[in-house]
Amino acid sequence: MLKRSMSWLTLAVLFAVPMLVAVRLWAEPLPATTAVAAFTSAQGYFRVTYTSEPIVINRMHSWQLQLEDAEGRPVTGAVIAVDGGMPAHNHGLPTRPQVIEAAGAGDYRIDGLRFHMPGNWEVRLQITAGALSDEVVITLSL
Amino acid sequence: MALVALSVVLGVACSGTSDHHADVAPVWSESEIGLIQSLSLDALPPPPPSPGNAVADQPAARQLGERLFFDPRFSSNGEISCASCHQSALHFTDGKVLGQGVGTSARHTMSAVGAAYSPWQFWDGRRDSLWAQALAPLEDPVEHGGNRMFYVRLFSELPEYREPYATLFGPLPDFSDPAQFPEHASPLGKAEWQAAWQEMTPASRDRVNRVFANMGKAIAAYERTLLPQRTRFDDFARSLGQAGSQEGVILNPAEQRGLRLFISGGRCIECHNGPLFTNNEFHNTGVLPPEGERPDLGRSLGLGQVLADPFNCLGDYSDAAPQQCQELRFVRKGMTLIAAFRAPSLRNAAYTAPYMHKGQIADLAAVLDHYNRAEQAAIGHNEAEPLGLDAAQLRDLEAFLRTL
Ligand code: HEC
Ligand code: HEC
Repeated sequence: MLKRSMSWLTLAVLFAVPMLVAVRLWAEPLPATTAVAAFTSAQGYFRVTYTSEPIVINRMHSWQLQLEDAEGRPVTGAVIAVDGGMPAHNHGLPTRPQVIEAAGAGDYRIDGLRFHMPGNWEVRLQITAGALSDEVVITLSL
Repeated sequence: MALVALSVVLGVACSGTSDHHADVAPVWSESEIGLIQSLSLDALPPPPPSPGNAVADQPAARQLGERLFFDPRFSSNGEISCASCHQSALHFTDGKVLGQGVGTSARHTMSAVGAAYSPWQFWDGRRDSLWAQALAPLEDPVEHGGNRMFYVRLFSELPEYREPYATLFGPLPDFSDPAQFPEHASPLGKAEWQAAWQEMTPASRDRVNRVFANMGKAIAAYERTLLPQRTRFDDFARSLGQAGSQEGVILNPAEQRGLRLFISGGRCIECHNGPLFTNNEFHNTGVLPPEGERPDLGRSLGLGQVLADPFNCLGDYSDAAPQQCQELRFVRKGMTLIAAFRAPSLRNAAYTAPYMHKGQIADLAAVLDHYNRAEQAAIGHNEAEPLGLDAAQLRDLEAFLRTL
């Protein structure tokens, strides 16, 4: 009995260091609890920051968006269409989220988001403001 | 923390290897433990609010609904109740290929356990709440076989329903005047019922609809209490990561290996996730129609039906404000819904054979064979891909399913 717990302890110490390193590495993709993250559009016209409560699988929720132009000025009056899915699974979003402009300058809200499985997701925002149109791809790992 | 997890992990490995080398339980990583615990009933919140049903959580509504659920008088032959097909001894299923009411249902009976968590009801999601769902079998010509006029009159004549109804919803209307309220009438069902319904004034129809909807709301309040029981799997999930834990005793190595396949190699967790083992979403998994039958179009038809349902969240009989009807507002349409069906809960799966929307797969081994081969769908596109698991792995996976 004593011998067994001794050997556990030795093993535990031996493995502790690589184990801790490994945990760090696995944590590298954005964790599911990401609250804020910023993404730049494909051609660099826009920068989008999204804020969300911790994302829970299968729960309908909203994101707050902050939209800026390349110089960091808030962009108002933009039309934003949402699409997305899981590229590895070749399927889209389970819902059809919609974006509305919110009160502050450059503030928008996406309603109706839901992610129905763990894995890597993409939310694609097609943004049109004035003469400019560009796509932002937000990636997240749940 | 990492040390605790590590020693637990090694504990499993040791107890596995010390006996027989072939029968080894997996060593669980911290991220796997997180996934496993996300499947446990410990992670199940109370049922989500039902904004369309103001009495959803009222004890008096629950009692009224329970009585209705088991009352066979609400059927065309006086013999069929909800419990005829949703039997408590069978985890609220019936063990049959297709439901048997006054006739034979078009599909396999689903369990009512945990249904309160789903934004959509039925295999094809043609209803968007438990209360709207409950009204459908009552008027289905092969299930309860009756009509709403008959039901609300019967209901209003029985003191055991009259009184609790009045406290919950206000006094019942008087349905005794045959000039206003014929014996049988409904917008659905037999031609003569539909003709009688057409002759009623809009105000009379509305009164009937309102009582009918409230019957559904009471039934829904009862169904919200139908929750899965803890199983060995939940005890296992709780024990993981706890010092001195007994997880190697709670699930044997084969069951644990099956669990690992479930959350990784078998990809089951993609759709069967959360404590009820379902994402309640619609997927085409290539389940073939029964021999000689045309494929069922599933969600692609159910979507149109739920949008047109007068008892949906946005309808006149719903207690929800329109902005609370998020599921309907943000519902997705499109090609991927062809022959897509709602992923069912896998809780109690060992006891709820046969399986799938037509009950077309007889046992769990055959279900796993279906996923392992993942053949082309009869219509639409099969989301699942062949798994390439060997016979021993399939046995492990089945052993795991039996722990739920
Ligand atoms: C004749 C058998 C039968 C009777 C009677 C019956 N059901 Fe069902 N039930 C079924 C079948 C079959 C399905 C699946 C049908 C489909 O999806 O097309 C089902 C589905 C359901 C579901 C959906 C569960 C889910 O997760 O989507 C609920 C809830 C339910 N029934 C409750 C009831 C209630 C309440 C009653 C009584 C008012 C009732 N049933 C009467 C056979 C029956
Ligand atoms: C792409 C989503 C998806 C994946 C992945 C998936 N399932 Fe399913 N599962 C479903 C759907 C949808 C149904 C119902 C299909 C139907 O009736 O046509 C179902 C049905 C079942 C049933 C029958 C339950 C019942 O009550 O009828 C079992 C058992 C099951 N799945 C187990 C598994 C296992 C084990 C795996 C992994 C090997 C798995 N599933 C992977 C979506 C999925």
